[in-house]
Amino acid sequence: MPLPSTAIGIAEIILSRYLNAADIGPIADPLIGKRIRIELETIPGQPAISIDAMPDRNGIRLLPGEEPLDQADATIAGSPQALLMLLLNRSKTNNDQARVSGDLQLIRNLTDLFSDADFDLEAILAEWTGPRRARHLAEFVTVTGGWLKQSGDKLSRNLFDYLKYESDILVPPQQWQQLAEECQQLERRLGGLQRRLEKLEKLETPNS
Amino acid sequence: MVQDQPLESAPENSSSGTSGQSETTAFGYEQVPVNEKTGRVREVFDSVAPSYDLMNDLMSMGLHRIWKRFATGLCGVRNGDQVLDLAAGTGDLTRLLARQVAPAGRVVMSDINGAMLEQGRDQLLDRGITDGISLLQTNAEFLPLADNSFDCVIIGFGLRNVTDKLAAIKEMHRVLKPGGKLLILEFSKPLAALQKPYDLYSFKILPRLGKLFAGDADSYRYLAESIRMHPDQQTLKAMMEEAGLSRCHYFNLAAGIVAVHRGYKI
Repeated sequence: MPLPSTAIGIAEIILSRYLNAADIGPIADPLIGKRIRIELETIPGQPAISIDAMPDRNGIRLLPGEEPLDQADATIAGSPQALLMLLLNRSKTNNDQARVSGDLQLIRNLTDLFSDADFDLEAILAEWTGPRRARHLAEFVTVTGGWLKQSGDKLSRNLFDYLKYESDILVPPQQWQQLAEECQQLERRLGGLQRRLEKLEKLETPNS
Repeated sequence: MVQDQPLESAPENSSSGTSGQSETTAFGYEQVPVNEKTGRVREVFDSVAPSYDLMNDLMSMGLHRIWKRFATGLCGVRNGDQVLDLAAGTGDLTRLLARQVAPAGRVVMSDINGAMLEQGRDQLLDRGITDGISLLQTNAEFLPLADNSFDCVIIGFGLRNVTDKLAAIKEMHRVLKPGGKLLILEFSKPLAALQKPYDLYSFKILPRLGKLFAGDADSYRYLAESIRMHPDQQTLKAMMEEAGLSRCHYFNLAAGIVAVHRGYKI
């Protein structure tokens, strides 16, 4: 499935900015000149978006994956989230992992490149806003990001405690099951009693 | 119905920009002797130089700034790299690239037109940008530069004014280092659905804007005509491959009104 060339260009520029801001230095020789095919699976059941990533000394160039697959030195396939997790070397649940094939050492070198990068937001912002505003903005983003992370952690902890407490005082499932069985039994007995009363009514009617 | 021809009919284009048999070349829609084109183009840019930036903003509604940032982003240069900016005009690309290659790198800002180069130099000085920039007045078809000397060559909105485009691209290829890249930012062929309003804008509105703000309708009519005579995306890509560049690819911008071509010297 083709991706518009403008989108690929923008993705490449963002990627280059990230790597430059992370000050990774020149790309290591083993990666230069290699072609890594990325199969991006965005919508289930639809063909994957093919992009070729070609590292050079200064970053990674992206092109639409138009060349035959056997031209690629390695292939990475998966959802955008799975690919991101792979590049950042973060663990992810088993059902959403990127699939890799070909030169695995090449993939490892690539993931090391991203996971070792120390991203500097201020450097990127400085290009657009000047160093002074960039410092304030970067501080704001860092502080807000930290606050959001702290709040999120706290919220999840509180929610966990609350659910744990509630689950302790809730009736256990076995008791619920027993209650349901007893209710069914009571219903059956009520039915039997009802039928007896109806019979008695019928017996009384001819005499009267 | 989509109009195939512009509002003012264009003569047949040739991919090289010259018709060898009759020794003429396209100057807008006009055929002029090959040796006259450079002078005629120089006259146009001498005329528009003082109001060039204002007109760029008016004509493109400011979009040319984004297109230039996109092109320099695709250059992928960094500290220490050597860059050649051809047809640099008032130095927009030079300014963006100088920041990327600083402090150890160098950008050679080059143009055939002295008036434009002077404008560009003055603007860079006004912005306090002086380090790592050299100025060179030269024709892109005959670069007085050593082989294999640049990491990146870029030409922004200039190739269509070059008399022999293929010769110029071959020169750019020659001065690139192995592994270096050439970027061509230029007007191109838009989507068919856009052609009619685009022609209307180019041939009816643009010359009036030129007359109103720059006092020169003819030069801006030439700009519109020269855009129509410029090779389309696929043709230019084929020319780059013919010149020896590899992994050539183009990125359309604004539905193909502008395209950035990139190729590598391998």
